[in-house]
Amino acid sequence: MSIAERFAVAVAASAADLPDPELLPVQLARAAAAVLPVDGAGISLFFAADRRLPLGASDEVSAEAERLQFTVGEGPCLSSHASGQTIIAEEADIKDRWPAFHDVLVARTSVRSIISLPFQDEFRGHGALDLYLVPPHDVRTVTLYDALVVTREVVSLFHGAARPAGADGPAWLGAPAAERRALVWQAMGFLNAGLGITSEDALALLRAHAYSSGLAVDDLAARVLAREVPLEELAYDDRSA
Amino acid sequence: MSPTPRRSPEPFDVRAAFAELGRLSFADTSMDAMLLRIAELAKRVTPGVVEASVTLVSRHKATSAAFTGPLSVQLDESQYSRGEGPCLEAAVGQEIQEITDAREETRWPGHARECVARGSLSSMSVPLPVKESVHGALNLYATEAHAFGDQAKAVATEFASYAAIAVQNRQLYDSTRELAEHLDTAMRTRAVIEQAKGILMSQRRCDAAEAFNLLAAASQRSNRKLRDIAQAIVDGVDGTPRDRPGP
Repeated sequence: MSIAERFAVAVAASAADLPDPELLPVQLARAAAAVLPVDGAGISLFFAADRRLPLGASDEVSAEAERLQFTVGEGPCLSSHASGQTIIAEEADIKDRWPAFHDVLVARTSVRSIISLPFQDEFRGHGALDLYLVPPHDVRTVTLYDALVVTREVVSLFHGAARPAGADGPAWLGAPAAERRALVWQAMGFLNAGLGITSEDALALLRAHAYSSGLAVDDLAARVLAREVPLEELAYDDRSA
Repeated sequence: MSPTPRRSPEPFDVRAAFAELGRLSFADTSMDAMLLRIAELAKRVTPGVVEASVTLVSRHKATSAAFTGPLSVQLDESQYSRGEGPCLEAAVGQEIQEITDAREETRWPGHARECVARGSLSSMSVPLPVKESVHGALNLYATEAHAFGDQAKAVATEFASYAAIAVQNRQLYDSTRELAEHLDTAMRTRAVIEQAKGILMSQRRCDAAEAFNLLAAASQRSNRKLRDIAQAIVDGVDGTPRDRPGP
């Protein structure tokens, strides 16, 4: 079977487990992780500068790796989006190019290398498929051709599921991972009003505080909104930064 | 003596024209540029043709997407304004429509009079084999009556199929871009609503569900979209920093 056929079979299998339309991204991430020699996969979209929306991951480790990258605001997936190029990053590359991301990645997950494949065709410039590898898996064991074919299939299935879409967009924009990231936008507003700062500063503050407390920014956002973190504590971070 | 046709003096054969079209890259050439080149080449290789144009009909509105000179625009417009004529029938009916002698044309009398007045006694409109919502025709206008033979029809049909590819590629591109923009808008809308909820949670000391209800109520009261209300709330706070931590 060709890689495209194997992917189609894997999608059908995960679709049986996850029939809800908003779980399509999870379904596709699981199928990608199943047919490629990797430990996990995640699918994300980008919109306004600096805003990244995770749609689904094959497993919790991959989801956490995405959140950590968004928290530190740097990493192979973000660079790949900026350049539009596939990035293949082994641990040494991650350490050299994105040291802050490397720190949290190593401290919090078993992932050591990442391949980021920007969407092409219909969603060029709008998202990416990220592959996460845990030793003994290594970037050299992944055939780039296979990874590109899987990316193309992911785009094509997303595209097919994007129509017809109401004003709220396709159902998969309401994927659980996206809803969790939505708390970050909510917390930005909370800081906008509570501290009288701009949106850009609010996001920077949340990220800095999450990084220094060893949390993903999504988790910090949830705590801020639950009023478990006093705003003064966040403001203090900003002054010291 | 017949008037000299305004055609390229050097011989230019049909094969060379199609070879040139074959070399044009659909990825790098805009639809308008492609259609213009097709109209120019069709005019150049078809004996007797003085002007050519491409009509596109979309949502009951006809436009000349490409034209080689004023005569073709005037005679296209003559049909659009009357709501009838060979180019419209060719586009919509998907069959070649020909005026062999405008002085004797009875199907479209108003348009035929205009053709005579402007000095084009014959014309041929070849449908673009385009699917979906856009229809089109390649129009060739000649000065003399009975300008088009079977050979000219066959060649024009070939040109029309190239034009159809250009139109289809553009449609595909537009529909893709529209989808991506739609997705982008949906993500921004969701994000701005979340941010406005956060602002209200802070200002009103309420939870997320109550904040959303406040937004929904404001939207209903003012008959404005929820998104617009949310955007106004975010703009109101985002742009006016107060007691901002100093540098």
